[in-house]
Amino acid sequence: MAENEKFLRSILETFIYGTAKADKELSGYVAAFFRRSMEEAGKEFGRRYMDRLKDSSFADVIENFIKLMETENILLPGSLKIASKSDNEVIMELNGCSFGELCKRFADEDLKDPRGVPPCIRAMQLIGVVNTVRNEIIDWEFVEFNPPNCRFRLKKL
Amino acid sequence: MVSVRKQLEEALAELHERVPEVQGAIISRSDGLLIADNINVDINKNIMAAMVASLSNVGKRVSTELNKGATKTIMVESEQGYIVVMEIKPHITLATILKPGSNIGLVLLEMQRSIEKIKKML
Repeated sequence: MAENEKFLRSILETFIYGTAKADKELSGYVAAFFRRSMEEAGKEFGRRYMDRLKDSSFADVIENFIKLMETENILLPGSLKIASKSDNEVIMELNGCSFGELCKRFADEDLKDPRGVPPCIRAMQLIGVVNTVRNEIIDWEFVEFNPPNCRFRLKKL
Repeated sequence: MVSVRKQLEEALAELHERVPEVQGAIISRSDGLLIADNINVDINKNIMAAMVASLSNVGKRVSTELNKGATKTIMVESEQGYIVVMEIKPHITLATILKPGSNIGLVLLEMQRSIEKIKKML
């Protein structure tokens, strides 16, 4: 990774960490403020790629979004993929997630959501994308928390 | 089969029918997830869910820090009406937006009735 990229990455991670920590201090959990921040970041991606995603189904939005991210070198190929899908839910698989170290830190420092699990940044961002493109309410949960190789479920309510 | 979300939205619509002062109602989780809504005013429901979650979480922390036990109701009285938040079960809340001059006692009673019904659906 180039020095400049490393610098930007560390700024991003410290900002995300700070958001989680502040939310926990204010509300007792990493909760609405953090979720909102991550979803809004996802929504920004959704808006940016709206034209190319708008006619896709719930699972296809995610699949097409990942392809776009890989094409634009924002995501490493294979690092985020759909393990299984149905009409109302998809199981996502992370392989060497770039937020892995941050998630371990969340777990170590008890920065957890009201359900008692660390917040999944990737899940929240994907929810933001789907929400923008399809105006659907999506929930997420870990199937397996093992950063940087986690699995999580996205479910349409 | 009617989805749980649909049933919840019907329960919120019934609350609105029983208490016309209710301009909007949402069921949300304490991480800001919007579960169901029936909103009749121009409000971003996702933002409302996030704000209700923050209000509810901070209320809980204040109650705990001041040794007042579990939070039952949080009410905000504003120039243009009220916002009332009540817990349905741990981490799930019912919040209503009310017109100014609403009969708060009646609203609380009707919200409690709705909560008893909603509890059976969740």
